[in-house]
Amino acid sequence: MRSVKIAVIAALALTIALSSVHGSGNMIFAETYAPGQTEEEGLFSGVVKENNPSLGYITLYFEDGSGADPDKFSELITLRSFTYGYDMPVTRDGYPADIGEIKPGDKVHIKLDKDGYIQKISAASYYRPVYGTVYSKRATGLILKKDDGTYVYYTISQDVPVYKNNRPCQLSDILPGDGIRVMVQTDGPNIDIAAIDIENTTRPISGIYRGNAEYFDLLHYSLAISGVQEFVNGRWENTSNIGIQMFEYSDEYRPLPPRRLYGTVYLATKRAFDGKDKIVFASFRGITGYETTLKDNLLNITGANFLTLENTSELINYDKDTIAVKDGRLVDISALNPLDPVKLSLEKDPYENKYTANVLVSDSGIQSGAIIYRGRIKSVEPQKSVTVESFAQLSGVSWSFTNTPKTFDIDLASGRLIEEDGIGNLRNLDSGYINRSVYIVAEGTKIKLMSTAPYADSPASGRVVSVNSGQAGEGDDPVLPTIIKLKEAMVYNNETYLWSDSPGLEISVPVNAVVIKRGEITDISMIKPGDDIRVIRRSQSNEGILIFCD
Amino acid sequence: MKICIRITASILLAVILLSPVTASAVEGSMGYEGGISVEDTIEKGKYLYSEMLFITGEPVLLTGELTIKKSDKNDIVTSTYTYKLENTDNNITMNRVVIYTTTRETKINGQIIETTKLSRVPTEVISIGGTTYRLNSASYTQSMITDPKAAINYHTGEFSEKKVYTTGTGSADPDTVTVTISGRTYAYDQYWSSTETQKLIITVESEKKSQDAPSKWGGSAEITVSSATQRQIDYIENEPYHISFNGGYVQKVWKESTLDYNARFPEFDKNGLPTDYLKTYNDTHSLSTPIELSRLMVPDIKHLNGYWAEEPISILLGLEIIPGTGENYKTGRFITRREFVALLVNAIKEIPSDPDVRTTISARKTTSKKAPEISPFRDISPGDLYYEEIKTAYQKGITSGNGNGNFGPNLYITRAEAIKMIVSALGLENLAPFPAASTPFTDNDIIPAYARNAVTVANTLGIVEPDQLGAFNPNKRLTNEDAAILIYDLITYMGDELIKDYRDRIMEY
Repeated sequence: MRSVKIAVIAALALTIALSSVHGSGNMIFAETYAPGQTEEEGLFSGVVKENNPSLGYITLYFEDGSGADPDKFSELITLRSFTYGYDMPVTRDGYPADIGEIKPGDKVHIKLDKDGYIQKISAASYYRPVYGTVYSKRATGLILKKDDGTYVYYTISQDVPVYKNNRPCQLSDILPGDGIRVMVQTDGPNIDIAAIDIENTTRPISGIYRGNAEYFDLLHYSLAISGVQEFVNGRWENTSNIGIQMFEYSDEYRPLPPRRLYGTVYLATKRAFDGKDKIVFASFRGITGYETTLKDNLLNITGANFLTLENTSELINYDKDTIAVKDGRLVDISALNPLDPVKLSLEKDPYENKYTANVLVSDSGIQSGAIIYRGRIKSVEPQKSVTVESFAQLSGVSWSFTNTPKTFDIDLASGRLIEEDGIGNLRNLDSGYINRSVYIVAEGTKIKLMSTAPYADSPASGRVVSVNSGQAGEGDDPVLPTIIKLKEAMVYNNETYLWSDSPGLEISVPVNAVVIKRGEITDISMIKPGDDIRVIRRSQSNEGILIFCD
Repeated sequence: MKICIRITASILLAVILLSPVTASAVEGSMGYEGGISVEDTIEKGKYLYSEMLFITGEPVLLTGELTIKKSDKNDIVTSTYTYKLENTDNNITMNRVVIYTTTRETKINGQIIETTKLSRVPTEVISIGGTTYRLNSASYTQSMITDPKAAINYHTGEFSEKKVYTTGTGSADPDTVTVTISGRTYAYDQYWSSTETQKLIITVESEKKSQDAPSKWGGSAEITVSSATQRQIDYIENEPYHISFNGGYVQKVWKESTLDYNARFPEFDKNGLPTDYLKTYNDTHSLSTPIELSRLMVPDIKHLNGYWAEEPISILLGLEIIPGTGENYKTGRFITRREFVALLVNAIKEIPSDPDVRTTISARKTTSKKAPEISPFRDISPGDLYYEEIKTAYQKGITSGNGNGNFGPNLYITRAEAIKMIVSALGLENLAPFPAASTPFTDNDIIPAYARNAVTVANTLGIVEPDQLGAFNPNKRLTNEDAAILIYDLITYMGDELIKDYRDRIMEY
């Protein structure tokens, strides 16, 4: 009898031992319920330590969050590893998912079947936002300068979704200096990135200034500067402020300036949340010896903090105080690439042979698909298309004529009509416009802008000194034109094919002038002092009809 | 008569409390029209106010005055918002009066649900040049939830509004402008900063019937408005040498309110008629109060001059979070659980209340002889050092003791215990994954299970960092200066980081 009991016990032990290596390697569940049992068996929850679709198992940390210690690995494998079942439904964040989509760090709930295999599994991700500014970007990832001032490198695969304004965009849309939010799930060495958001409105550097450092006001966290000049289009220009001007520091940039201020301070400002331009970078330099500005193309950046330029042999050094701005973003100088166009402000000690760059600005050229045509309207299909008899296409400063009709599509939502007395309505464009000569700025065949401005054939160029905006006339009076004053102005002689100086050139700009700045159709209010512009004027009246600013 | 006889008298009375009680300090101070405000520093209940007007299809900024009056009677709050706004450049005036009724209900988990509706049809008249827009009909509904935690009240909610204006007089079928607003509110209240951010989508639909050429147009605006009260502490050096104390700290308090909008409306042609081209408008406006200055006490900590933790210790002494004058402050000394709780409770302070509320409570008042004080823990008694702070911490859920009904007031506090209390005070333990997080620290497995989630959250919030070996050191005892740094990091988080999350990042992303 005793031997029978021993045999039964041994058989049970063997069964349990065999069961323990079957299925999930840990447990089986009876289909019958023990007396008094009030809860279902086989329910497990925890945070994923490892998910291995190749071998078909998932390992969770212990319920209390422990299990990271390598010494506990075997215990974890025994007690917290679960083998995939067949046709098990998987959800992640409420959506059906593939089992491989469950990542380390996910919170999961598992139901085992009676054999100990996973019957169903649901997971919730644990992504958290990491905010920062892109310090530099590589082909495989980016270095993020986090808001706490530390740096982190993230490997970014090409399938990571990128959004701006909640709309999908490309990884290539992320530029050094951009503020981004990376949704990261981390578990030990495992980092999973769910998405990257680029800040909705890229707040560009609103100005680069310099002046004499007067004093620092701690209570208002502001810097007082006299003799303020702004770096506009590669040159230092006096601002309209005379005397001392206060610049407030941004909340995101709060280093204390030197205790005793002297010399020249260079600073970059950015529009803050309250709409005010505030300091986001300031560099305090001593008394300047020699200084100059340059426009050139970058050839190389050396490891010894030197820049080489395409058209100058000067030795140019940069340092941690150099303000580097690329496409409106404050960047580390390493974000610049060979052949980037650069505008530099340089200074040099009289006894040194090298310049130091205190400001470096690079604006990438914008490729616009817009082409400017001029033609006489032959026919109009209202709200659909406009056909011109023949047309001229602007090429540089001259027109190329083509003696064939061309049809342009009207897209009411994106096209505009401007006429000599103000804004027109493309919806009303009908046969009444036949035989009128118009400018058409088009992308492909789609009209972006149609203007009734007169023919222009006299090129001029210069640097804007002032823009006196036109005002709407009272009653039936016409809208007054805007007057632009230029310096270093030159005009082109269509007969001699020569450019000549035209000091103090003033250009009157009618309301239906076509203005294109950095490749985008805009209006005259966007032309600012310091801008270099090209103008094609009407020779009879000297009105500026086509205005380009790069 | 025996002194201990219990005297109970029930009377019905109205108690007018001039100090408010449960209402939020910031939520509602900007109204619900997409505007921003800051308090008039002189006149109570008055605000400087700005909002964008979109009904003409060309955004215009209106500025002026907002007066808010609130009365709270038995958890029913009646709020009257009176706006007087103008834009002189565009010859625009606006007068608006809106009365809301808010019903407040406290749920069994302590969360408070507020439901708001209009008490009556608001009055609103807008004059633009020679045209008058009158509010003809309006509807409004709002619901908010408040989750009160020890250190911070968190609020969120939604509101929906529809207003129909008519222009012209005498016409049976007047021109109309319909404005629909959908808004979300995120806010928190606490001592070191308070922020309310609203995200609104405003849709404007205009129908002109009275012209020869009738026109219909529509446009929309996405608006984010945010109002924050901020504190900042700066060190000011003394210039004279012959002065009894070194330089000291000054606390600056100010409020700023920011409006950021992005709108798309049809461009209007030379005849004032809408074109199909949607013109984009965006801009930012702000209002702020002047800074208010208050000097902190200058502690006597000459023995800490140059010490690596001098600044946080000095500031906490100056703020009277660390009790005493500092002369007996000992570095390197382990801090007890009793002392740490006192520090923490002093640091989180009381959550400020709505200054606009005048509270009336109709209640059955029971007067009785004061019952004897019962300590929440067996090992600490009323009258013991920091008893009140420990009781407050218990009542607010910051600590539940160390088991068996004891608190262990004289035990030295460990890092794990301290972090657990801090995260409980913030009420953010739910940010950790269920059921328990695995922390990123190399000594994760020796972190007590009860503290693992709190440590994970504190690390995410930037309150704790790993040491050089990546460890958290959960059982390490805190010294006085360790505790000072932790508490200082806590108030920095409450002062600066929360604003980033509730304002900057909502506006940026």
